[in-house]
Amino acid sequence: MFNWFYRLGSPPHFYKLNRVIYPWIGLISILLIIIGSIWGLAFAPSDYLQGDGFRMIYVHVPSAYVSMLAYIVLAISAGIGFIWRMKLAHAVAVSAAPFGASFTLLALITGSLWGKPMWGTYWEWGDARLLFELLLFFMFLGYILLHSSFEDPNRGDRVSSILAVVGIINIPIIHYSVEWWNTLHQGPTISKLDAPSITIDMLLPLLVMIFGFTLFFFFLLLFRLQTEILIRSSNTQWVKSLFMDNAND
Amino acid sequence: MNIFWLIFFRDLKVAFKSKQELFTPYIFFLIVASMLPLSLGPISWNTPIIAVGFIWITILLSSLMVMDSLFRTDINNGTMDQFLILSYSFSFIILAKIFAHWIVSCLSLIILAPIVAVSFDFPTNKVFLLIVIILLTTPAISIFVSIGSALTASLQKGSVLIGLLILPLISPILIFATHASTLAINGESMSGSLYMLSAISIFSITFGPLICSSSLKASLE
Repeated sequence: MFNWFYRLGSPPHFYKLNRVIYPWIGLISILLIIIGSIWGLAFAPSDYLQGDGFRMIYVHVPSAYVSMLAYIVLAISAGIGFIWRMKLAHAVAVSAAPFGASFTLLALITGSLWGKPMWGTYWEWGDARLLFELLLFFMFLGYILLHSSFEDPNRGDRVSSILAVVGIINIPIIHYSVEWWNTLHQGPTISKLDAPSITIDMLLPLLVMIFGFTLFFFFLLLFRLQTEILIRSSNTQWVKSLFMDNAND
Repeated sequence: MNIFWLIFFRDLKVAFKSKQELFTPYIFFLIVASMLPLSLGPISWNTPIIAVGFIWITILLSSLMVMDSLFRTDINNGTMDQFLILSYSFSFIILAKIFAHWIVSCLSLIILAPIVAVSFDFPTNKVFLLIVIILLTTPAISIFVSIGSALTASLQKGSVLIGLLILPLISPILIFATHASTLAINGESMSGSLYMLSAISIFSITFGPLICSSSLKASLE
């Protein structure tokens, strides 16, 4: 029943599979981002309150969404790696962390650029959403720093995966902080379960962008995972034979 | 006597023997209190809400400072290896150590926090509520900081990392603690916040020692 899972967990099998998959994911994500940007920036109607300034939503919301998704990917793969001692899962966690940090930083920067014309300030310390997004950035940095401070990579994998799993308690708090603390940050626009509070003309490009950003994150993750797998199994026979075959071609 | 209490009293004895480690949190607490007005200049300082902010930030900092030595001395002198091969639950040993450390660090807070709070014009009849909040919150803070201490136990320069790793995780607890303290000042019903703080503390006491012991095992294996 779990045979496919174990096969996916074997680095040589996954490496060969991934080689085929990740260029396609990258291509689709870039197409989606191009379509979404042109649609959102040029064709979507402008907001009656924020004018054209609202178009920052097409970068800000997808990157904030991906930043949380990245942490969930990081924590779940770290947990799988810790429980089943699966080396590939640790490699996924390690490759996800820097991109998670980058998307969090992107969300913070676009948010503060959006905040200046709309709220009149780049940064508001009293706002729970901003604060928790910043803390999410520190959680990624903490994971990266803790992992890199171990000389033995296996030990670093196991210890830092515990940190990643414990940190997942903060994700729901980041997600619901807008609803729990009614502060400067506007409430959620599309994640509400009832009808979204956005017109369909604005919503569709946003969904395209979110989907594109998500795929782009997975493309980056898989791209880095290739290198991570090669580094981690550099002493194994299949990597040696892989490079021997390439040299012979 | 039960191994749990043996380790608990051993750690208490060790803590009370080294006067320097015992008194550093008190002095640190008061030093930060006197640095705070200097850092912001002449504004109106005698407002209870500043006392709340000050007390929680100092509790965080002093618990971070104290907890650094929690596992490292035992690892360095080989006691931790003996604990690991003991036919007794390793998590309970960790819990005993955290419990002893909590007693030592919380004692200083229970003595000093009310005095400092009253000096900031915290309402005198509400001070016991503040002590209740501190008693309910500090177990969770101690557990989280000891998780950080366990994660960095085998690193030489781990103590610098603990703050970065653990403060983001403590922030939700801090929010509820501050909320409860503000409700106490305003004299509003605070049972909801107290229940929440107790729930957080019980949750972390249940799972924290397990997390600590597995990260210690992972970093020592």
